[in-house]
Amino acid sequence: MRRAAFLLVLLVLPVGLHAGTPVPEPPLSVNLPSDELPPAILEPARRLLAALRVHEVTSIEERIEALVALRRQALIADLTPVAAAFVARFRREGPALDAGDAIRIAYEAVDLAPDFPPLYFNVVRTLWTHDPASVGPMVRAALDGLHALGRYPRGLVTLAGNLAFRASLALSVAFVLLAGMLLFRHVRRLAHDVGDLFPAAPSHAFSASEIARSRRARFITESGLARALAAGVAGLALFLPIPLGSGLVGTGLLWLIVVGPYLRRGGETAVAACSVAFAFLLWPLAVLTGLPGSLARGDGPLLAWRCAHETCASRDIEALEAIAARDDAPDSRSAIALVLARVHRDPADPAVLAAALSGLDAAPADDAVALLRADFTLLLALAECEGPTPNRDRLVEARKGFESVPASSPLSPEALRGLAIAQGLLGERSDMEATLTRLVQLLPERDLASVMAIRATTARENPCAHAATLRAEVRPPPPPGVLRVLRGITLASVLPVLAQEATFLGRIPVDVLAWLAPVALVAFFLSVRLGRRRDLAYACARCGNVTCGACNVRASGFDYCPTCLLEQVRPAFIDPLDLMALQGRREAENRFGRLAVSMLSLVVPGAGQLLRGRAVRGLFLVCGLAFATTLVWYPRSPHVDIEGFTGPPSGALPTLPPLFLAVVYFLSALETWLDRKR
Amino acid sequence: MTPSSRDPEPQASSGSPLYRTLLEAYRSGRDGVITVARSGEDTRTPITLRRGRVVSVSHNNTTIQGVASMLVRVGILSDRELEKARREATRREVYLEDYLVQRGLISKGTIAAAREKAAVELLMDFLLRHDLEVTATWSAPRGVRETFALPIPYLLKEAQRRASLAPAIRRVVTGPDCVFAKASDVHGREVPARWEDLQVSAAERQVYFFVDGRRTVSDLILATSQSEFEVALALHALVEMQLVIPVHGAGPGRATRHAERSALARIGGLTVAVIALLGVLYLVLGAGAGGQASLRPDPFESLLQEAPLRRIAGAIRIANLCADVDPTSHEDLVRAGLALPEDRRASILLRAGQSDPRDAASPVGESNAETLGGHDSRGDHP
Repeated sequence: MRRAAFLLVLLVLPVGLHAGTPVPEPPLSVNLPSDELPPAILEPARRLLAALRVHEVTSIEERIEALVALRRQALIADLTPVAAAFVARFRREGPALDAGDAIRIAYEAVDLAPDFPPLYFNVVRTLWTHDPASVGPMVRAALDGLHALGRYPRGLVTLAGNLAFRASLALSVAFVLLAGMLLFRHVRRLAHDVGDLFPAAPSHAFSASEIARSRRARFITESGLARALAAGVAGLALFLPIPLGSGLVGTGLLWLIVVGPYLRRGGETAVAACSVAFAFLLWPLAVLTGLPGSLARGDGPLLAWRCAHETCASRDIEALEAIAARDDAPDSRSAIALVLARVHRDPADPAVLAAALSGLDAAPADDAVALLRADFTLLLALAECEGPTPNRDRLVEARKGFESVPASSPLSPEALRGLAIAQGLLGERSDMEATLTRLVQLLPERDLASVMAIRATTARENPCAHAATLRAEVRPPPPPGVLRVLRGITLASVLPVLAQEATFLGRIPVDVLAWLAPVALVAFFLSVRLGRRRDLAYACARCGNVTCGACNVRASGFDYCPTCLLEQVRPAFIDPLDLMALQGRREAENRFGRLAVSMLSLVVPGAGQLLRGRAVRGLFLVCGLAFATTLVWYPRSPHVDIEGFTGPPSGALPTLPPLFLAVVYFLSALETWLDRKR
Repeated sequence: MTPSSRDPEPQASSGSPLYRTLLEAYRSGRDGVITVARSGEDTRTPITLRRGRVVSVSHNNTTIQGVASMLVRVGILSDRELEKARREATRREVYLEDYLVQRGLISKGTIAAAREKAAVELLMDFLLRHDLEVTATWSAPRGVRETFALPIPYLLKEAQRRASLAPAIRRVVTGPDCVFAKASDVHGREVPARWEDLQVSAAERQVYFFVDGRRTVSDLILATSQSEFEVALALHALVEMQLVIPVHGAGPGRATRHAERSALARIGGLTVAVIALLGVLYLVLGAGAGGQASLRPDPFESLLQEAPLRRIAGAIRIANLCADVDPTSHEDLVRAGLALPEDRRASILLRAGQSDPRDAASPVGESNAETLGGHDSRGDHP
């Protein structure tokens, strides 16, 4: 009965891992976004890049300053396309510039897109090239870049997607290697027990007479056929999941479940459980890998983010209008993005600003909308100048608007700026000074010039003549963090992508991993727990032959390794020295096996350690090898932030993968040397 | 050496011709060669006597080949090792015995002991036989190699002992085809829980190990490398101790049939399992083949194929801002450090308006055309 149950499990398990009907995939499209910088920005940007090419330092700095002013006047948070092109060109031209000029320009360029991390890393690179001793500024710039990454969701999502891609590939490779090695280590015991499920054939020959008898053609045929069939049963049962479409991961799960009862209690069980747990991580990593692609498709939240804080194309504005026209609940992010995208194109047009103000009515009231409303009112006041002074009613309205914003977010420097401008233009100088004092405490050092500009410009008799300067001091709400951008994304909207999915998962949908992995882990522990209660095959500690209690009793009447018993019943005329010599020859054979395993450790780090029973070391080395393999396998990252693309990596051979591989191989060789006597 | 009071007295075996000849040689202190042949057979076995001892028996069992076969039977040498040693000894033109010793495969002591044992068993067989033709040549043999020294009194006494024990043993072990089984296997009788608790001699322990209810006495003789007498004696003792019992009607034919039946049953079971697994494979693959059309393309492959397109798209965006880079020329993009040479194919596809590298016939995507076209205000390209 137990045999039948075990056979049933052996047959059903692979079928259970057979994948269901695959889900259809959305059509492939690169979905290249159109690049539409406002014409007022496009020409200065081209002149900046042209000046950079001919190394005209003064011109470069003037263009950067002009672009930054234009960006601020248009309420654009980041001129990412310009910044990306600048970084791409600066990488080539920067080394040719004078050290001081290069470093200064790199720092100044940060204002083109303060939330674009490559600009900060460009500063680091420039410092490294021209002034390697300035470690402190380099570290500060690098930290600023990392901090900016949190404000640049597209870059962060792309980075996370690329890391997840490599991690999932490394995990898959490591999982399959671990499962394969653990199976290989215990396959003799497994084969013995599978063989015991079937009627027992004549016992193995223990003497030459039996060997001689076993040389008869019929015996050879029967024995060979039985061995071939047993190997066929074991092979089919173990490898059936692959043609069934369960991929290498599904097959590896089966192997670990089957091999579970044979694992030693210590490290091996932990490592096997760990490797099953790897499967847990594959699904979240696949989701993360698919996230950039899913966000880039259609009218995702990144569209609203780009239109609100960068520049966006006409078709993107149309897409936002389509979202706004939908019957379902209005989305504040889309509404803000729509009005900002329109204002970006013509920030001085009263009609555009008025339309933007009315457009905000559709957005739910929150701090960002309140600040924008006040910003637009202030800009409208400047656009509707009555002679030399702005529209006073609008200014009063704007001041009230700004005053209402800090009530809920008292540390908003954007609101304080607008409030100071409104107060200054209304002639409330003392209030303005108080506001500026509060603002100074919040502004970074490089923005302190703004305070002077606000103070000076609002004090002029004809501020409307300097409306552009004042517009440049008005700030939109800061870009929301990545989590806010991704809020509302459902898992159903993300298409999970697993590296080498067809190889590792076959026809199993990636989503199935979300529940398959926990089920496999439970099955593994059940297998370990229940399997240990059975009289399973074991490798004799003395002679290394695989046997089991039932076979022992069948062979000799005792639960004792029959091969070892045979050693004990040798005739008395044999010199003990010959027995020792025999033992020596056997050990020499085993030594060859150990040498082969050691060689395997040098060829496939971790594999030899797993076969030697050094499970934990093997796990780490296999993971290291798998990660290095992914670096070599796919040297280029699959996800590319098109809008923030700053050029491809250097065409030279990458240094990290070979270095990492060398470290892994060295550690494996060192471990093999230190463990050589085991 | 002269006869003494310790001379063996003729008993049951005293009627055998070899017994009489050896006794006479021992009493008269003669050296010489006794040639033994079975009646009606041409094979003769010379037995050399010197100083009251048997020093050589020329027989196949006492040659190094016979001894080596015995050592293979007891598992101290493997077939492969012996074959290799034979080849090497022939190639090097040395004696097999010397080669085995040189190679450390076996010691001289073991070879000598095995040869002595083979000689003793052979002589015991001759001493208990009455159908032998024995001729003696009483002259000091020359050129005969002394391979052992078996005292004649010992041989004669041992022959007497075996002759006296034979009737009792024959009542239990009736012939070479007898089969015995462990009592525990037949009656479920309790046996000592541990092998080392078995209170029997080494020889009996060895026989007990190989008794399995199917092996005949002949099989046990071969398996244990003991003599027929020793095996029978051990079986007799084990039966007395009720550790083994004879299995009646279980001759070699029955054992063979049992072995064949069990082998066939195993093959049958394995075949059924293989067929079942192959059937599952066929059914599932057959079902899967019908649904191939509905399989989705691998999103991972799509991702990899899109990556160069994305890189080129990003490069074109930058080139659109640079007056000195032609976004429609891949060479220009590469020269400007914006694209990789290996992305040429993606560049061509994008220029052709195809975003999907797998489908060159698909219509031009509007978005791609927009990107490739760049900005309308741009007019400074060649």
